[in-house]
Amino acid sequence: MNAVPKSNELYDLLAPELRLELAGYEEVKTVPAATRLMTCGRIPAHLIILERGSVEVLLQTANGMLSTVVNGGGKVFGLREALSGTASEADIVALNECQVTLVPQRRFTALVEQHPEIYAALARVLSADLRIAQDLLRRAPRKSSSAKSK
Amino acid sequence: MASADHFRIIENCLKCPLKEDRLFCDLPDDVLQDLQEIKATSFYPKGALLSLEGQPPRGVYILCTGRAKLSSTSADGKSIILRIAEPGEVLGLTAVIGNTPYEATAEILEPTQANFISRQDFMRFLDKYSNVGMKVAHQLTHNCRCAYEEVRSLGLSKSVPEKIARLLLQWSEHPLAVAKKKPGEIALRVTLTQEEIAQFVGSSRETVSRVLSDFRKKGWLRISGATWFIANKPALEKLSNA
Repeated sequence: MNAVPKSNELYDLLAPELRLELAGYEEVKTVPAATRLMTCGRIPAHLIILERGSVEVLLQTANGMLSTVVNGGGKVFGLREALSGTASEADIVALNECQVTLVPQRRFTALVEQHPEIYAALARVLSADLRIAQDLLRRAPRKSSSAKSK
Repeated sequence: MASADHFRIIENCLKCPLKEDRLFCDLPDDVLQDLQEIKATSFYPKGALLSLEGQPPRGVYILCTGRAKLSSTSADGKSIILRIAEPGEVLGLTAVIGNTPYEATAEILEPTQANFISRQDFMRFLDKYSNVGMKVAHQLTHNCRCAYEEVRSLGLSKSVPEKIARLLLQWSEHPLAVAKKKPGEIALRVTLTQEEIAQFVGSSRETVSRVLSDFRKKGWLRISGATWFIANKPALEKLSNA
């Protein structure tokens, strides 16, 4: 357990007792640059809290990997997957040495079931995520290949 | 022609016959009672604008019946359709929760009933009831997944027929129940113009027209006014996954 309360986009919205309970499940790791923290198409086993360093969120397309956003400390990954029980839609790769905190997904979902007030906090975090996704959609190239449309 | 019954407003959320079918509205009676007190119900004609991109977030709209087109302006200044919102969806969530400007313009596609909740009331409602938080979190998760899927699809350089096939298959997830259809057909209500479909798939109206004509000739699609019938779903699936 960590003596100093952590600050991240999710924990900052949770009651102290919930943060304390989550802290009991945490595992802190330091990973080198280029580590794939989350893989597209796989259901992540943990929530990943980025404490230090930066990561790139990459979307797989037929034209290769599309960089969607670079996140720094305080970002939490795996919330959507935990809520929906589905696989990740993106790859998350460390750009430099990162310190991450892992919280087992099953522990987190169990806590949410016990304390459904967490959903309001989740809605706030997911709302910010959706804004990023929609911004990406706005910027995405839309021109079709005319040759194939004949 | 639409009947008077078609335009009937359901004022009371507690007595709404559709509540169990709607993602957001399937809530316990005490929560619906509270919702009843904070929402304002209105009926909007086709073309009405619920929200404008860039405007401050006044509140959210729950689509009770009808659908809305969510559009935005692309980096190169063109109007792009982000997606079609279906009945039961809450519009304006990201803006209201984040207290940021509306990120899309929501335009009514067919006569629609929507419940408006002011930002202040909605945030209080969200914090008061965990099951509202759950519904909102699940809708945001779904919307986020759809947005990433759309980005992935746009980056795939698919042909226009492939993209239109995919669009029709998406719409077929919300089939029209009452239409007169032949066995095996899936009925859809399509209120977008060919120009709007072209905006959706990043093409021209002429190309969309040609592709739809081709689908009809092949017997994959039947069009009767605003009601479209998917007659060969496997063929569209095959094309979409090509």
